[in-house]
Amino acid sequence: MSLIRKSLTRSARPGLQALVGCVLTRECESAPAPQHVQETAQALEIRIAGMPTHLSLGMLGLTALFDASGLFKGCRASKMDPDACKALMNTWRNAPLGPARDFIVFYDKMAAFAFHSLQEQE
Amino acid sequence: MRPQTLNTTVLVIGSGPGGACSAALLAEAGWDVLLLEEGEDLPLNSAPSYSFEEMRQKYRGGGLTTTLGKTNITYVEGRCVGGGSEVNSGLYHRPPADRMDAWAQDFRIEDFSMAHLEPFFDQVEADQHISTWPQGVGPASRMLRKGAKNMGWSSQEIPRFFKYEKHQGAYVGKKQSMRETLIPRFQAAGGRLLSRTRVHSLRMEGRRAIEAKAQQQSESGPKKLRIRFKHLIVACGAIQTPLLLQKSGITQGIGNSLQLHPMVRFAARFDTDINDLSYGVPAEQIDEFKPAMTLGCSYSSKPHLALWMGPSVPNRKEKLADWKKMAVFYVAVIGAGKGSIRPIPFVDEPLVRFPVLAGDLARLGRGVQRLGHLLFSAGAQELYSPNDGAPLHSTAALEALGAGLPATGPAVSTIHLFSSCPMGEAETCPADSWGKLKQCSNVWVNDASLLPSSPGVNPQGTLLAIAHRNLQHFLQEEQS
Repeated sequence: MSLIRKSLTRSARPGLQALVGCVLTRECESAPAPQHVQETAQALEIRIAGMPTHLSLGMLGLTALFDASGLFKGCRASKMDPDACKALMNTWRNAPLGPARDFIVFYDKMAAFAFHSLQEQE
Repeated sequence: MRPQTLNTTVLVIGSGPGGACSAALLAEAGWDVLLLEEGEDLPLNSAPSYSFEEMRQKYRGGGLTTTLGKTNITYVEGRCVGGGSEVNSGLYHRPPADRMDAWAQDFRIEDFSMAHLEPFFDQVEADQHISTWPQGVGPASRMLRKGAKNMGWSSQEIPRFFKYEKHQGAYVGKKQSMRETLIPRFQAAGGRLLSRTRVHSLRMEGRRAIEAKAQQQSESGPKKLRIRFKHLIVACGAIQTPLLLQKSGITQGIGNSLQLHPMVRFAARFDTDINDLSYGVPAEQIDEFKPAMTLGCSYSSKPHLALWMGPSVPNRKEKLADWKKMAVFYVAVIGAGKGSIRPIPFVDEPLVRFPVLAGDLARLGRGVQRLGHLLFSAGAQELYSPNDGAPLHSTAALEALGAGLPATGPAVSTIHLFSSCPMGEAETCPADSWGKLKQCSNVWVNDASLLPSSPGVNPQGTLLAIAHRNLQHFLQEEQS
């Protein structure tokens, strides 16, 4: 189980950073500081690892899939500019599949919560 | 490495309200008691209340646990010494007396009515210092009160597990969680507490549980424990109690009837400051629609507002900069569905399923509409729809919500879970009128799992009174 988790975490990391980057662009209404994206993504990665195993693996799998889904638009989500990544997020937000929508709601909410919490701590 | 063996007369698993109460009363009666807790033993102020850091330290799964179904419900469980009492707002209610009577009748619970429970509620209220703010409620509560008055609805400040002391002319409150009250009493009476210790399963010999297989996270790494006991009290909460029993082969009627209070939250903005975090959770609630529906205000720090505002709010940054003019409000209803808890092979956590029914979504929608009317009447400038965060500027905009929320729109959450192992002499109840499992000769459940259905209010006071009652019966039975 821990090997699957490690490998999924590695695959999901770029997608996770891309999603956090998108949410923070909204929160800051401009390009967020790379350090803030890094710290927020790191905090979320730790939280996802702490979720119950079946939810955590599902979340990591969907994050990796989100990154790869960018290939239909030309490149991975992690290589997209913020506007293109935001558009991809909106595609998932309006997807007919519940888990895809819930996944975006999770990042919308938790990345914002983590970012503002870390800002408060500073 | 061979597991270390421990012996005790009574093993109590779980140190939340039910477990702490059981352990303290037994130890004070002179029994040899070992209390196990999976989480850490941390002081109340180890992290700011309701913060991201507190979620990491004291919540199971970092607070990111969810039921599965067409509408997922995010739920939270405390995982630390003191359990849920360490992380909740400490609001205290006595349940409606007719609810108690209905339970006694429908589930055939012996000696169970408000008159029977009265002395136990009195005891809980004394032990936990149930009280209201001596200097009056904060601005968000005052605003709710004003809105309720405008609407002609009743509202009141809900008392809490709080002790207030005067410091430099102002009152400072300290929550009277289990770690502040019953756990020190338990330890003073000679009880032993082991934190960071998770019980994986129980070993049975016929109808008798004889040993708990546990693992303790110590400084030198995980340590296996085998704990032998004469009596066992399981008090791990409405999710973990049925999971442990099922994993141990005790399955009769267990984990089939989980109930909860579905809740939606949304933010609203005013033109004056209404948000003062020094009051903690605003304690005013709208009584008018209880017990079917509770309306109130949540703790509303800037991160919480960012969490609940919704992504499509225009000028989010500007609005969040002025966060003292905003607060997060909630609508909680009695869920009509029944959920299930099942173990998953090779995984520690269970699969929790709960159906949010169309009626629940209709009641939640009506609740948002009602609360919206109240907030606009109290001066709200803007509400953010719980469906998608869209700003609403008038009562007319609330009409669509009144028809019910969509199954896939809002983020539904809950902080009240119960009834996964209900008590009573009725055939469907796995525990008897006093919490003893019918399938076993020496296992009792003593937590929110026992509540036969929703108490219609925050269940903590009810479960503490029932835990006191069941424990007293256990002691009387043993003496006789």
